[in-house]
Amino acid sequence: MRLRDYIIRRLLLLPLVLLGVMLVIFVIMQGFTPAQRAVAFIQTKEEMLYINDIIKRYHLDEPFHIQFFYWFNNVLHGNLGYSVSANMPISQAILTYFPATVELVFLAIPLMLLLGMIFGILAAVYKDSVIDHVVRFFSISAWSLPTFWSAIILLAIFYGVFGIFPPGRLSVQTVLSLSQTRFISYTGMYIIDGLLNGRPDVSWDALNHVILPSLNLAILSSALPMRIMRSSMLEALSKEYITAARAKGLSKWAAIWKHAVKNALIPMITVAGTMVANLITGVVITETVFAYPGLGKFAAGAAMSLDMPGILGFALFAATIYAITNLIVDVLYCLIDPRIKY
Amino acid sequence: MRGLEEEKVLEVNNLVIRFYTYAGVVKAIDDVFLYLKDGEILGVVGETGCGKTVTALSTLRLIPNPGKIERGDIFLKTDEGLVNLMEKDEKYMEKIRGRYISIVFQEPGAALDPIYKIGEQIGEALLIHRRNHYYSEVLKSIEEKLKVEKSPLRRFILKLELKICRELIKDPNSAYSILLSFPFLNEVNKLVENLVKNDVIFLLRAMGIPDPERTYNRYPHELSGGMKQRAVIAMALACNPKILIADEPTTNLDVTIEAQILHLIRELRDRFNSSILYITHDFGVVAEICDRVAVMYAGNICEIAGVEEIFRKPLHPYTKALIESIPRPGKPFKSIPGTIPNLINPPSGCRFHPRCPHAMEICSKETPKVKEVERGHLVACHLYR
Amino acid sequence: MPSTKIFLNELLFTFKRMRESPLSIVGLAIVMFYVCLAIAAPILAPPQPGRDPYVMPSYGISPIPTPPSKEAIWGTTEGQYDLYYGCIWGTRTAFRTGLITTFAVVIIGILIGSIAGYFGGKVDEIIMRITDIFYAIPTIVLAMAIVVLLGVGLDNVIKALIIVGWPTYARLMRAEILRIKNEDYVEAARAVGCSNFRILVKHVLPNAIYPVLIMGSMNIGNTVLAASALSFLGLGSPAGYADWGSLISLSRNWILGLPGNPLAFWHTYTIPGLFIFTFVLGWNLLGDAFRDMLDPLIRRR
Repeated sequence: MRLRDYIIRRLLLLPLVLLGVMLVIFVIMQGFTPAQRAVAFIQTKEEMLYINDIIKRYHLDEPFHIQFFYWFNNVLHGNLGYSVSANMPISQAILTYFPATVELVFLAIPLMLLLGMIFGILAAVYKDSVIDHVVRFFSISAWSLPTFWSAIILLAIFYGVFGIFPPGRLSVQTVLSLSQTRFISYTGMYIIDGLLNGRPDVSWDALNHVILPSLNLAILSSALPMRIMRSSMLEALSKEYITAARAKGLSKWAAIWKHAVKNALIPMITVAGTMVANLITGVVITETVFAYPGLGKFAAGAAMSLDMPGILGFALFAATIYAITNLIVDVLYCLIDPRIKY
Repeated sequence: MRGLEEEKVLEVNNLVIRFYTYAGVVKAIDDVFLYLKDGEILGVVGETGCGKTVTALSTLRLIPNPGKIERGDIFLKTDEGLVNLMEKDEKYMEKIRGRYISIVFQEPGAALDPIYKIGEQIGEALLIHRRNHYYSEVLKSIEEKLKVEKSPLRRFILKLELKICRELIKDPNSAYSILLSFPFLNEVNKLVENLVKNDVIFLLRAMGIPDPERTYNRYPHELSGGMKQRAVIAMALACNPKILIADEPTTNLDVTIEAQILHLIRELRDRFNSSILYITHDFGVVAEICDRVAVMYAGNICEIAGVEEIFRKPLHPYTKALIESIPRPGKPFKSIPGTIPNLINPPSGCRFHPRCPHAMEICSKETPKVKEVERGHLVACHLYR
Repeated sequence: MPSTKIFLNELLFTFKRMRESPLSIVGLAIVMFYVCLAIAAPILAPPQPGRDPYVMPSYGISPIPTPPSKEAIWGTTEGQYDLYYGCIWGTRTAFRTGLITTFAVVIIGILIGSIAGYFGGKVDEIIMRITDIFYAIPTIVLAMAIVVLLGVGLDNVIKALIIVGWPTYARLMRAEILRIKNEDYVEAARAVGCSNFRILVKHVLPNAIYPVLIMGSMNIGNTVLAASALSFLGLGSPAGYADWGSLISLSRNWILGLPGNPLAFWHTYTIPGLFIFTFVLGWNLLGDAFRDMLDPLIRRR
């Protein structure tokens, strides 16, 4: 089977996976009364007054499969319901809060990977040395730290004591100035939009706010890549092709970089999915502590207010992102390792 | 045994190697000596674990952690004359490896990185040592192009490429190499790649690999064991090393493939005058291709002699026992009593004395010194003091 | 040698290896420390008579946390709850959450995984698809959704974590059974004439269970982390309950301290946080050590 066929096959499987996810979510929804479930079908607060109509229209008191059909149809049209915690339709909430989370995550991922990979490599090359022990201790400590606790400590120290890196997304002054001048939101991400609008001060302000949550996310999430990189590097370094490369005249670090690291990246890709899942979890908690208005904070708020359509809408969204990531990872895996036969 | 006679290309003296493991200090190599003459095949024989591979790796100074070469001399005959490798630094060794001494390992595919193409890996060996040669060639071809090129933009680019080539020939690590990654300048890289590819294909063909152009683009897992070993040998020979170390290259191959590889190795000696250090535990192979033989036991060299001598008149008790234990039709099966000693606590004196039928009192007290009993026949045994 | 003797021998060897790795000793020490703490809770922090011991005593109605004093050794947190009391009894809560969840998840996983691995075919397919679906949603998110469904409370958090956690163990058990089914020694046993049941009990199960148990021991830490995160978000125990996560959530309003004294209320979040961190660290160190020791391939390196 060629690569193209493999990709097509996996793409076709994607909707099936999502269908399964929607089934699970729907099953959970069934735990609520029809009146409660009605909220998952409306788009504005006012429609809540017409609960009985809604129950009739979407057949909320009829058997499982009929309900599922209507709900499925609804979701496909982008109607995920109304979130009482966010006071807006869920699809709108997702679109509104998504860019902030993307900004956070896009800053955190390179940090996490760089930290994890560099120290993983160093720990493996200098096995049993000081740096190896430090790395091993760090990775197991970071794995044991509660995300919300490290976030609180970071906030208390940097913002509480030193007054830098405030929580939230933008400072009050920036918000004020944005409402007074022309500012086109190209991407919804203030760091980029600030530059595109010729307002580097906005970018700087946004950066200042996002750096602490990113650091929190990155440092804690780097534990897994650090451990995996270390163990896969140890595995690769023990192979004979490294000795053979040096026997050709390659210097120690050239051999490590060209041969060991490239081979060690392969097991890393297999845990990429887990890393993404960890990130999603971390995002929910980190955004909550830093009051960062992203999808994570929305989800936490929805859960706390028992906003069922809210949390389920978020779950569906998270599962979709996760499934797409897994697809990309699987394809990447085939591309990088020539031994894989698909 | 100081000083190198005219015909010796490699000489190892008083080599001591220890491994510092959690279980204790392994005295792996204990005062080993041997020499390799120009254009000959020296067989190194011994049981598994006697230290053959470690000795071979020591000539390249690639002993892995936790091993350390405690002391010893490794003399190599280079273009600049006699050199003691133990006095040289890592940068010097990087120039030696692959260029003067190459090694072929036991496991056919293990020396090949699974995620790179065969051709790329052999090419890597070429690029490491013959970089300047390739850049000079590319320089010439760019100069040729410059003569006929009319367009001013192209002329500018070509002149830039010329400058980069010249800089890289002077200093391989200069920052100019970064410039080569630019899309409009990577013509240089492509030219170099092509030159290397041609040389690699030539090598593959010389090693008897069918369809070298296709094989260039193959990955290691797509080749059979015999083909992989040929590719590995090609990689080892890429830069025409004077000395090739073959560490049991045919142990994991079928007998028919083994015969082909042995034939190949013989050809290397005959046609290219390579000197080969052939490590094996198989006396049959020794009899077939070796000129001289060194017998090792538990980190010591017991005996070195010409191949006929060693079969006809083995002097050391271990050599005698080894030769007698070769299975022959009609003869009862004979093995050497006892087991290989633990090298953390090796036997005192001569390491073979617990299993030696001729052991005397002195054998457990003193390590025997090497003695040239006859011309070219050396033994380390108290029987021949 | 009879199997009990082999078992004891291996156990002794396990302990010997453990002595050689300092980190595993640290892990064991931490876990033992918390076990003692949990057992001694009624002595170290006597509960007020007539009250549910898990509810922390409150010394007033002021929301502002107070620093350590004679009455409250480590101070109080929002609502004047005794921090010392909360942390000590929180150990019990942590053990309860971690152990119940892990036991349930491991047992359910072993059962379902064995069924899938043993019967194969359609049954296996269905079970695998179900676990696939569970895998498709990140665990905490799904756990949050389930808690929203079942209602807020620590017991529901435990239930949610169990529902979310068993697929991992079922898969592992199934993979192990499949792997062992193909091993030579199973074929050898069959060739000698052992019955299927005997093979299952004597050969397959004991070998398959090892990785599952190891994973379980490694996971107690993660479970407590997840449960405390959910408590922190307000989905777990109610305010006033002795639970480390909920203690930290009580400190949320006081992170920035007072103007001019930003670390005024450091004790409200630092102390419970240290408890969680060291507790999970101990279990993770132990679990790591278990894995290195019990994995038969690495054991005798």
